[in-house]
Amino acid sequence: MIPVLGVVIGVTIGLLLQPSVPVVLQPYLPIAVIAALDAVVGALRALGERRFDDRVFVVSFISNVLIAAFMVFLGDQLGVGAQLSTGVVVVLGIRIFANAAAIRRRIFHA
Amino acid sequence: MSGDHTSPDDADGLLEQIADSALDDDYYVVRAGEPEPARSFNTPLAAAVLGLFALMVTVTAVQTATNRPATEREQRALAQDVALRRSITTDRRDTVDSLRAAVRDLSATAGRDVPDSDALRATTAAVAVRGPGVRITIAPSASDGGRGEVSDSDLQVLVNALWFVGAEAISVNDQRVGTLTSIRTAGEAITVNYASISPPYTIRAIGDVGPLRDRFVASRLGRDWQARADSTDLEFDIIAVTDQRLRAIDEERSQIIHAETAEDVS
Repeated sequence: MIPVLGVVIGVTIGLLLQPSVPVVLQPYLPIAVIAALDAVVGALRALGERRFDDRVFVVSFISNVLIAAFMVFLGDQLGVGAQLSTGVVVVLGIRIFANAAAIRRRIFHA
Repeated sequence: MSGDHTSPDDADGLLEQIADSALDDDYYVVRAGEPEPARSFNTPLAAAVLGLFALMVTVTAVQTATNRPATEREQRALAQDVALRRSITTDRRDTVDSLRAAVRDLSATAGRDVPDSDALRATTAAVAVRGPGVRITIAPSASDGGRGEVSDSDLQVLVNALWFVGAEAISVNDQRVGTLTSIRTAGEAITVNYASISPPYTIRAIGDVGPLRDRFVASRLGRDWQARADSTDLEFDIIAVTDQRLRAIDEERSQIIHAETAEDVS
């Protein structure tokens, strides 16, 4: 139940403090969220397949977020920020859907 | 990038490969090293990461939610601004229209406010005039001593006489005679309004044709001119004209700088 507690605490902090994201970081936040969601869905699938490892989860989460943000940043610097964002979202979206499909198969057909 | 369960060659395309290796390879690697899962989902580390994730989602959602009203407010303000400026433009256009109408009305009545302003302008030769009258043509002759030549004083007297017999507007060789007009000799030529004129001299006068011509011909001056024409090669003609046009005097000859209207002197 600790993870649920963590989720609750995170939501509560976000709602209570309502920290304002610096304008510089605002373009990267949505992409970072998508990348984080990919890591979370992957973790759920791994959990279902009994492969879960919290160390891998942490590493994949942080690296996903950082790499996604970095790619958008790089795209912005090169003038193709929108296109690169789209590419990142497409790739991450495919991964999220694939993992979600795997979870769905496990739950409903296993 | 390919996982243990999928070789890159099996994937038909990049997207398929991405879908096939959706789960991070590390999960399989660790799994391979440790047959039994050593850590469960229920750990502080996983909780911390999930908490961070929840925080990110919440912050993003809150940020978007708070930004939206600001954007909407901005749009509303801009729209109001546009509407305001449009109405201002419309108002000003109306003002322009009404002012134009006022100018039209005022300029239509402006001439009427001063009594007889048209007549005054015609009298002072400020405007071109037309009407019936006489045309006198004088071609001097140089061969018969003094009698055949025409001097500035001849023309002065002639113009004077025409005023006397009822002319209302006079021009000499297209130089309108106004209030500031002088007729004088400068060197060889005669000047009217400081413009040289050369023979033959054409003097046009507007007035009542019959009296104008008859009184002039009957006057001592008219008889004198006729006598000069008879005795020399000088040509002198006076004919009645039913309609002729006399142009306005040049503007610099109708401008007054120092003389002012003395209202109290009537």
